[in-house]
Amino acid sequence: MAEVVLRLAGAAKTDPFTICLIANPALEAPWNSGTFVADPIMANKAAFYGAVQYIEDCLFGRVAGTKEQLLSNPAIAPNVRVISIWDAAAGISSASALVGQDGVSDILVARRNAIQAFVANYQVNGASFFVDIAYAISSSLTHTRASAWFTSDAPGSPGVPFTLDGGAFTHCYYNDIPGTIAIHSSVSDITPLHEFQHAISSYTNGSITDLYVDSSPALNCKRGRPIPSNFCVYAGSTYLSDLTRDSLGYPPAWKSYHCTLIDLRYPAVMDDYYKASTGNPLDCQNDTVTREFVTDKILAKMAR
Amino acid sequence: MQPLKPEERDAISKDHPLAAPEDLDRYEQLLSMRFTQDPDRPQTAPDSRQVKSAQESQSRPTIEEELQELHSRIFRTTLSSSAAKK
Repeated sequence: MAEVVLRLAGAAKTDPFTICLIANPALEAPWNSGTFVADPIMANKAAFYGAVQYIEDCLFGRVAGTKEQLLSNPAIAPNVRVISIWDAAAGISSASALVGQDGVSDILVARRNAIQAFVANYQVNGASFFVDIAYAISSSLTHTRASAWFTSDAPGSPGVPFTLDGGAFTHCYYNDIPGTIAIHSSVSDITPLHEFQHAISSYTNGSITDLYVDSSPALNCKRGRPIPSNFCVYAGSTYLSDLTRDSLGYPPAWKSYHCTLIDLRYPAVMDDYYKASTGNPLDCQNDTVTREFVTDKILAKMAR
Repeated sequence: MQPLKPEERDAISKDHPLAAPEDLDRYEQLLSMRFTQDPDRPQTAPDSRQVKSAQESQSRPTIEEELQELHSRIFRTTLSSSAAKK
């Protein structure tokens, strides 16, 4: 019998904003090989629920010392539904392999179509549920780094329109495929929030990318030299550039640059938070446009 | 994608002393770039924005091809294997 736990009820409405945390029954090893093995997490229920608790605490800023309090916003926190799924009878197959072990790194990769189909098998309070963000939690013995796929918005979905540097976009109410994350049960620091922000961003309506490599343009990253003083105009407000990249500095060969930080002393949540000058990733907060953008995206989905 | 922890980067340098830092940087860049492309759409070349023609695009390696090559280059030599060669 599967354990489907409604951890936080969220808004009392149809399709509240929903985060789903799933114990990964099987691993595809390696990713895209068609070979499936049992995920060790299914032999360690305590590790699964420990990770679930940590991810929830991290997202809502409840880990002691966490500076970034994005989801603890009183307009957001009470309206988030959180569901966990533990199904020891799910078996080992392509359908139950929600995570792949990358063949060229130690990265866990979400199998997002499998995740979407898997979640559709379960109900809370007698009803299936719509998912915005899904975490598949693994105890892989060899792969420990988390990763995320952005959300694939439903084309034509209603939503809240916005402008970015003169272009017209939409914070969509609904997705075709939710934002998906593969994460290890030993998760710590602010990795759950870092991956959440990737996952809630969109392939077509504003993506949030890694800032610790010389990335391609995204909502939170631009390319060019010299770095202009203004980073972007989002929803009618002008955001400044981060001219120095806090204490890290931009490597000379880089062409990318970022938006100014909320706290100039520490790297952004999407940057290399392990290099915070204090050595404490929990000191890191977002850059200014990412904070606003993610908040708006969540509030838009909550308005559906 | 979760950044490499400092101790993980140190371990790679220690275990694979011949790995070039620029190769490791490019490898990390490509790993991150992989997730910026919708996996349900056909994969494009790493620098597709700069690709000028379809012919040029076809001659460039995909992200996965370049990752395979970099992975081999970075991780093929360990301390023990380089010592054995000497």
